[in-house]
Amino acid sequence: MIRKDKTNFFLILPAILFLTAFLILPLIILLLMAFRSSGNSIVIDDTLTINNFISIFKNQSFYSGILNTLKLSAIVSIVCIVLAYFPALTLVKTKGNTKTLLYVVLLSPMLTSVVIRVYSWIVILSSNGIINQSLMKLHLIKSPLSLMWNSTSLVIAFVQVLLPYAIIFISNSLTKIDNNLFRASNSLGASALYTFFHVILPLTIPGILSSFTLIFSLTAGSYITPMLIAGHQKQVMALTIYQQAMQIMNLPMAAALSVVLLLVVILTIVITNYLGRLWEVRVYGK
Amino acid sequence: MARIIFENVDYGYKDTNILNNINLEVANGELFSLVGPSGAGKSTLLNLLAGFLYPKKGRILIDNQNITELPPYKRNVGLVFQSYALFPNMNVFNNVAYGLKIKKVNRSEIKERVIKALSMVNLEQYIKRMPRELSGGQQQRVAIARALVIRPQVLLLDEPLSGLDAKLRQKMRSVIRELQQRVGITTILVTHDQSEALSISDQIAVLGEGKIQQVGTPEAIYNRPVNAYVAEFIGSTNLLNTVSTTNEIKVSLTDINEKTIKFLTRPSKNFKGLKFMIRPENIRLVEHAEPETLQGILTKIEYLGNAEKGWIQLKTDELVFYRSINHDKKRLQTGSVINFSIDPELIVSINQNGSGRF
Ligand SMILES: Nc1ncnc2c1ncn2[C@@H]1O[C@H](COP(=O)(O)OP(=O)(O)OP(=O)(O)O)[C@@H](O)[C@H]1O
Ligand SMILES: [Mg+2]
Repeated sequence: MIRKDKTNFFLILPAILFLTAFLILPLIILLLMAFRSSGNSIVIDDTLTINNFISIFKNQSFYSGILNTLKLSAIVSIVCIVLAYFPALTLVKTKGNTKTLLYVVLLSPMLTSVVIRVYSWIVILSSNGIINQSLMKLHLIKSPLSLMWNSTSLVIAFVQVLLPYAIIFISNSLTKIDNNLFRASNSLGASALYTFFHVILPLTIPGILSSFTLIFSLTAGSYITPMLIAGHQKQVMALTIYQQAMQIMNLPMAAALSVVLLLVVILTIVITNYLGRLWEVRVYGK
Repeated sequence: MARIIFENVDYGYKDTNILNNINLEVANGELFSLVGPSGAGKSTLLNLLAGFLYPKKGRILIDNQNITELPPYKRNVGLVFQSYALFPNMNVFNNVAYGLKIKKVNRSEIKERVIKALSMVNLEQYIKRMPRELSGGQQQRVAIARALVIRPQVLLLDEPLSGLDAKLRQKMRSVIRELQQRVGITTILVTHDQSEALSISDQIAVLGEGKIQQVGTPEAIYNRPVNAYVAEFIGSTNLLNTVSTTNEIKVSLTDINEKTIKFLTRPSKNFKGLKFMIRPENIRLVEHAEPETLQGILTKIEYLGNAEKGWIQLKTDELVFYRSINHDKKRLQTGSVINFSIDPELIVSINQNGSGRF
């Protein structure tokens, strides 16, 4: 028994080393940086202080930023999960080559770089973009509609790239359901919709929770998409951090903001997962 | 209650045909078993009746109503699967109540009917349990209660007992039969366990090679098979060689000592191309060689608890026999010489137009 534990330890050692070097150490550095005093100089002095955090919590725009971030991440996650069911059901039902093809189509948004993807949305949505130009040529509108620079376009751009995660998680939960359950439900008189809400939905709670966790944190941590699509109309936390670090060169403040964002995201995920588990327990008992 | 009719039903996937020209009639209140080898299309037939598959050709009727095109949820059919298919997210009560809630039956009636259905299968004390907290046999009984509580016209059971161990299978077999008789519901049972089919059915259909080989009572299927397929599929059998001359067909056996006994002689013109068989339990072993006995070598023996099954090698043929075991009989040894006799009365001709004894 002890022997086996030892071999197991050696087997996971590379993973541990990798995580220490590229996750834990940077986190520690980040944490230390957050307690240095702010300034926009390259040289950062050594004294530790909590001034960064005090000024963050005193600043009104911090609260609107964090609210924007949470709202955006939550909306993107929910939209992805809702939209994922239909493709996931299709994916589970298809077989063989068609299935492989569907997977390729599904994963293709992930293969393009963020910047290219976002620029293509600009090409489509901006005032000189395809939609506005077509509508104006058709004389349906006189002046361009503002499709860009608002939160709807931001949600669309995020959903486009994050939807595949939700589809994969939910189809994974779906494949674990015995096919005969659908047949049993159907022959007991249930319509497809009734079966969805009473059998499929409760049995895919794990898929919903994983999708939420991943999509929520990816959205909250992303700054390129908000920067290019929404500009400064919608200030999200990740963008503020980017500006502090890369434009103002205030690394301690950027680090402090990162720590706060990280904690807020973790807290949200812990709470939603807890609520999700409660739902699961209510559904499954125990 | 209900009568089921399949009329010239064809079914296939793309270009392969699974079922060809199926004609079946299941009478009201009957327990009808479908047997056949794996892949014969038994589940396919049930799925056609439940509405998960639609035939290429032909009609399916329940009580003279054509249901061929009806979707599953509009058919009034109770289904029980081999995998039980209980909803894992609902307790026993809610599983059984599922179909009633859909039909918008009022609450107090739901409660009453669910409890009644569960007490029919002796599970009323398990109402609050989740499916995973039940044994296989209990889950199977919940599945049966769930199917029956909606008062379906017909009950379809797809290998309901094959997930259970031998002892429980025996018990559940009689539970199903007893329940079916009490409710009086027309039932189709799919099974590949022939002893199950023989013991509880009113009628049996043998499905093989894409078509119905024979329909009949268990007694008819066992004793009067219409072809070699049925004869060999149900139970074990010995097909006997025939020697035909212009006028006569003879059934005879030659033993290891070149002794030949002629059992039957039939006129060729009525019995041309027919096969003859004898069931293993009709081969009688005797202690000593006598004029009407043959001799062979015992090549293999299987112990079955209360009986043994053996193979006797003759000059060219090999025969299978069953022999019951009791405490004062000596057990047989492989390699020993066996004397046996066959009563010609028990040899059966396998005949498309109803086989029989002579
Ligand atoms: N989706 C499908 N596509 C093509 N062929 C299929 C499909 N489903 C089943 N079949 C074929 O149909 C035939 C009948 O299948 P079916 O499930 O009805 O057999 P069965 O008699 O129930 O067998 P078992 O005793 O193993 O359950 C099989 O040969 C099977 O390979
Ligand atoms: Mg089957």
